[in-house]
Amino acid sequence: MWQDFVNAVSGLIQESGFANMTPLHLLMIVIACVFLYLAIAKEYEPLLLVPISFGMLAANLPLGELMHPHLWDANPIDYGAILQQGGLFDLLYLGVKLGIYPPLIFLGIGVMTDFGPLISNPKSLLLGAAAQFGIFGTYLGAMALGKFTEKQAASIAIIGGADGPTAIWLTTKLAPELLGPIALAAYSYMALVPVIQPPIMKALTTKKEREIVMEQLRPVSKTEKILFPIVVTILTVLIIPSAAPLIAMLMLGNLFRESGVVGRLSETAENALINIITIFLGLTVGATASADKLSQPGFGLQALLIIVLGLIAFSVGTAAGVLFGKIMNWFSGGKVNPLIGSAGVSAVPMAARVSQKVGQEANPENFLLMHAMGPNVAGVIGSAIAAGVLLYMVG
Amino acid sequence: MDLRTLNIVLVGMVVLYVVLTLLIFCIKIYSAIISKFSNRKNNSDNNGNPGKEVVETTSVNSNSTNHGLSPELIAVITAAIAASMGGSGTGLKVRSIKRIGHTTPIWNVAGRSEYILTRL
Repeated sequence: MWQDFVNAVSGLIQESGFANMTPLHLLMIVIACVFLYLAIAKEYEPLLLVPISFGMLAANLPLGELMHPHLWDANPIDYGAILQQGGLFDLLYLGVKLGIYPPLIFLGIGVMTDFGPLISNPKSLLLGAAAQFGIFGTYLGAMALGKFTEKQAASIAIIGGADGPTAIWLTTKLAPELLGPIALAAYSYMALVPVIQPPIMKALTTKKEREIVMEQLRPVSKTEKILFPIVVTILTVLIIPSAAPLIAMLMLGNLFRESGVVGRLSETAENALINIITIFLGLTVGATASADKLSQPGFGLQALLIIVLGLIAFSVGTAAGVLFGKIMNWFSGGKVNPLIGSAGVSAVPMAARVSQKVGQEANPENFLLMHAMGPNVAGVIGSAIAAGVLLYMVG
Repeated sequence: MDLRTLNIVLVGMVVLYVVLTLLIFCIKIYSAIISKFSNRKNNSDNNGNPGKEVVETTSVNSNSTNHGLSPELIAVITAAIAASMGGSGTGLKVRSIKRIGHTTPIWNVAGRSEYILTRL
């Protein structure tokens, strides 16, 4: 009887997660807890970082069977096996792997975005393009390091687009094995925009330039706003078909908003739908950062390099935007404040707020927010196009 | 660094600039067409109804002047009217603003102030 009791207890202990815990599991759990702390106590992008870090935590608890990385590492992927043997996170991850969640998030972003400042001053699209230098500059850097394949370098470079869903979308297509670190780097740097950007903006501009007060934007009619998503979709998708999922859904969302006749759809897309997708996306992206991955040779170094390259991508994008803003300022005869260029890196609306804040520090009567929103939303379109180009060229 | 990498970077940036420049032209062209069309419509409306205002007008009270009202207060009141009427607010004219006397019982006013103070 006593022996049976001991056997039962020892069997339970051996089959528990504790007995199967490795140092790598423990390390991942600690990392997940650090991210949870940053999300909850420091409020760094909590809407995304809480599900991402909790996904990482739950997936790294041994024997939980929520996620099976080996099923996703198979080449080609056996979707039948995933449906039969997969855990909860495996099934939810299908939406990431099949490229469904990021475009749906773009639908919600489209509803929330006012392209009015961009339509009012279309030249700000050029600032949105300039900030994408960060993407291509980092691609060059990643390739020069020689530690990454072409596809991995392209996925890392897209962090410079400062657009989480775009980064996830491109990475699942090109280098899904790096999804965890790339998503974490992208969202962490987006949260750090107010810390990363101001020193670069101040270093590249004079006080006189930062003080420039821009002319008020002209009012935009409703017809112009309704036509905008239709024109952008037709033109962009015809030229770069690979960017269609992101651009089409972004513009559909915006058409919902501007048409004013589908209030219920707009409301669903910008609230319930985007929140549901954010939960699924965050949880499963976090779950891909598993201890098994960390044990693969060279992965730790790659993850570290991704963090460094992501920061470079962000900084180069900011610098390129500001420098192009200076060029536009010279050409316009001193009418463009170069600070709005940094908002071209996307990260809506945080980057535009940073332009406003830095501008107001130089001149308290300066209101750059609406001027910066033009390049800011142009950056969303720019990074989606850049992702489409990279997918076409590298994929 | 090989030529293919440089080629990807070059093509990527060129395509990005070409697409966005085309977008700029498209936006400018359709904005110009729309503004021309709406101007023509406004002109024809004016010709058809010479005595009628083309723009939306809201007169709070036609007997007042703006003495004692700061430009900020006028801007706030105009913005509030534009917001409550919906639309872009383009063409809205506030011709006069007049302070009207209390028509609410004093107890209601006191209750309202107390309620507002609890929310501050």
